[in-house]
Amino acid sequence: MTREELQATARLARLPLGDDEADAALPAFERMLEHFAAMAAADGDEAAFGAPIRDLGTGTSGLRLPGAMRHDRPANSNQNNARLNPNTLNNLASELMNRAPESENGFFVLPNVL
Amino acid sequence: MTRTVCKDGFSAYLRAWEARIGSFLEIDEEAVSKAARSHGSAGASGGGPLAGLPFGVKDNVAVAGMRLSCGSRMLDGFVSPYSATAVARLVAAGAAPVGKTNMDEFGMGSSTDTSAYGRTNNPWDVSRVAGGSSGGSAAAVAAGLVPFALGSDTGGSVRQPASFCGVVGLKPTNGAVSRFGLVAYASSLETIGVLADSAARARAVFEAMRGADPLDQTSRDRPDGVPGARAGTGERAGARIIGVLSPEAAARALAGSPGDGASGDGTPLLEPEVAAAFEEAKERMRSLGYRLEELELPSLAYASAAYYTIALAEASANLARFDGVRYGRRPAGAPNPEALVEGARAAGFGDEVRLRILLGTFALRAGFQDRYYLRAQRARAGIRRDFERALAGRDAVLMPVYPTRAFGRGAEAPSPFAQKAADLFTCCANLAGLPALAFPTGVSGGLPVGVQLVGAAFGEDALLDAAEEYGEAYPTGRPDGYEEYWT
Repeated sequence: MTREELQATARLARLPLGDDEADAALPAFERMLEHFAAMAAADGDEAAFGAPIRDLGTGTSGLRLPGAMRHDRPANSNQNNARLNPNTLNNLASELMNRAPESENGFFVLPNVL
Repeated sequence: MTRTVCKDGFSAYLRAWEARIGSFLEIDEEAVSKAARSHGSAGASGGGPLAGLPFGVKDNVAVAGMRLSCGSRMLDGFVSPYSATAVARLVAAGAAPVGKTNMDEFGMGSSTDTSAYGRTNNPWDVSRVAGGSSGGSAAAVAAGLVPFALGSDTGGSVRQPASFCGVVGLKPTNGAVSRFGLVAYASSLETIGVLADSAARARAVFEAMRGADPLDQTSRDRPDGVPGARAGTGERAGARIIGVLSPEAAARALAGSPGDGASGDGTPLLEPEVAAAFEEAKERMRSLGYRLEELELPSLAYASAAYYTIALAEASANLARFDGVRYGRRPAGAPNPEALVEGARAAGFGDEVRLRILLGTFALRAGFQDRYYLRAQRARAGIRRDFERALAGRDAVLMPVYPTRAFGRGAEAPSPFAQKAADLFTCCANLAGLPALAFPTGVSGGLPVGVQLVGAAFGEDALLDAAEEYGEAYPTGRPDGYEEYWT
């Protein structure tokens, strides 16, 4: 890991680092990368998992959720079922709009950035 | 152990403790004092086990009208317009959120010391940390300021502070409790959890919160036929067989965890007091009639590395929204949009959060995904498989929570790296999506020690049953100065 590689990663993360900052951050960064890299041993460690790790999936969930989609409507809609969920979010949309310094027809009005 | 039953002077009690431990970032002193006065009086009876009880909420869980800072400068001054479903359900059960508790910034830490808003001390020894990242919630419950508090657990953030502070900490099954209103850190790993002064209380809180929520598509009801679930009868129904991580396997996992002690900053071995408390807990479980079966979990050696790879990759994506435009404080001026985003992030995030975002960004970079993220996902599948084997025919697996008791600060503290590597016993339940319960087993050298039970998916009842029995037979102490307000 070089300072330049760390700085390239930092730019991608929108957290740019100057030379001194990158030098200061490098040891902790490299220590954790070493920690990650030790997972390579898992490739040959069938005993640890009861199966070759290459054969195991990369899915994030052991639970399959049926039809985990919701309708696209405002969260304070009366379609939310109060019996299932007391969190009915009454008036959330207007609550949020009231926080805007300026709004128009249900949209936030923003200052020009440029 | 001395306990004083006292109904007056709660305000003074609260202030005196808070001056020493700093568990709350915001608290409605009047509301909690009023609850203390009326608790147990004739007028307060009825309405279920949670009626009239005040509770604390970790500052990354939304409560309408209260701050929601996640312990970060980034969200300084932000007030939530709505409540998390978990909070709303507790309110519907008659409980009242009375304040927000301190935490490591965005949940990233093991001590609560990465909070941008000051320090939380351990009620048992104020020179030591309360643990983290839900340290404020654990400390507030341990000191008796509230009977329970909500936390969040991504890799042990409910259970480790519970163990450090001598309270019960429940991390539910992934999906058992709605996460609507929880600020995201690592979405595939984290759950809202409970810190409580007893297992019975943790159960009441969990029962009120759990179940499918239309606002969180990853939440669901408990499926039928879960072994050990109470079938509406309130009877304990488990097999009364518990697997135990053998001391040799625990030692091997610690020694074999990447980056062990050779360089001086590695994982601490199991502290002798923790090892002794673990042995005592085993004896006591046997005396309660549980059959204990020793087992090994060889996949543990990879748990911490897989956990941090996945957690930080997800964090780098989740925390991209803090850009001064969608969320977060915006710099007063910027020459262009790029500078505005970078300025907001530079001013808002602390060092630990920055480090973790950088690591997560790196792990997801083109060309590195096979080496890090995908390998970690496979290890995760293997860890889940290892636990499924261990749990077959058993109620739970008994494991240590953390290799040490509450640690001190400065030279007394393990290195930041060692603190991360020491998550190996807790993070595996998050990787496998399983419920886990930490509960206190005793006090050693003036500090509490806990153990944890990891159960099958949606098998919280079996874990709570065992901890409840244990707590009834072997009550542990409370810190000096504790007074009983929430019987």
